[in-house]
Amino acid sequence: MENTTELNAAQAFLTKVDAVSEAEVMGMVENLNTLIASASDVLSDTWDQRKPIPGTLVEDPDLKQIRDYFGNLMFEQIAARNPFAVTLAIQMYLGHFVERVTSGWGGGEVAGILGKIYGMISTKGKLNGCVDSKADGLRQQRVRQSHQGGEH
Amino acid sequence: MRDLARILTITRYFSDFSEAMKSVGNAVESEVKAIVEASLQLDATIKTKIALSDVSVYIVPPGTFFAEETMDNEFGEDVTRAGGERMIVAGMVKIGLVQRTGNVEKMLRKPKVILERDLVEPEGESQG
Repeated sequence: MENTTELNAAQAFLTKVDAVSEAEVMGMVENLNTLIASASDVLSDTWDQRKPIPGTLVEDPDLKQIRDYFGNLMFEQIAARNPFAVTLAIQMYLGHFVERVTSGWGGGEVAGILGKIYGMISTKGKLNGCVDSKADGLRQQRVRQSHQGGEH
Repeated sequence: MRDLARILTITRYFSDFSEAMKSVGNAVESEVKAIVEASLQLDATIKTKIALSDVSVYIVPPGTFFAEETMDNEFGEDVTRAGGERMIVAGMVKIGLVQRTGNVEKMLRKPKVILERDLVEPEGESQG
């Protein structure tokens, strides 16, 4: 009898089906891509309105790390303020940012940003009504954990 | 976000890193909040509503060789072996989604990339 109960539980797990359609998930990814593109354009345009500081770029270990990451061509285009390259660099970093948020929290900076959002959640409840209660609960739990982790 | 601030110092829009960080911080407040929200929503959906939850966001870093099976060229052309030369990715404009089962990767949504070849406009092409 007990074995039957366990077997039924296992079967229920094995036959669990997606509670969301592939199209819905793809829609979320597409929405993220639209937000990233829009944010990158806005940020790039905002900074592009500044006058560049005269002088030469002094490369330090941090900048070398960025050159190593992007490669020489991309780095030089960023340094030359090619708007396409600057926007692309911002998109790249925002893409990594999304990856970090969705794959286990990077702590530090992510926690700092999420901390601000957690503050809003704490005082105002839901940020908006677009997320169902299960997902919303999980999100708040994760944000809270991340926020606590970022305080140290 | 420190990396974004570094980008600003490379462009020399800011000479001082802390000033660049401040600017990025202000921008984050207004522009990136929506991205955080959408990321959290996607994360929660993947973890709570997909039976096989080995699904994750797929990123193509700069310097990667273009491969048609795992990415799309933003400009549409398949350049896996254009002219016999392997094309290098300059950056990614759209994130992808992948499902990993053991060592097998199934692309649910290919990321879109810009190639180094397309980064710099050839001389003369900007003239009407």
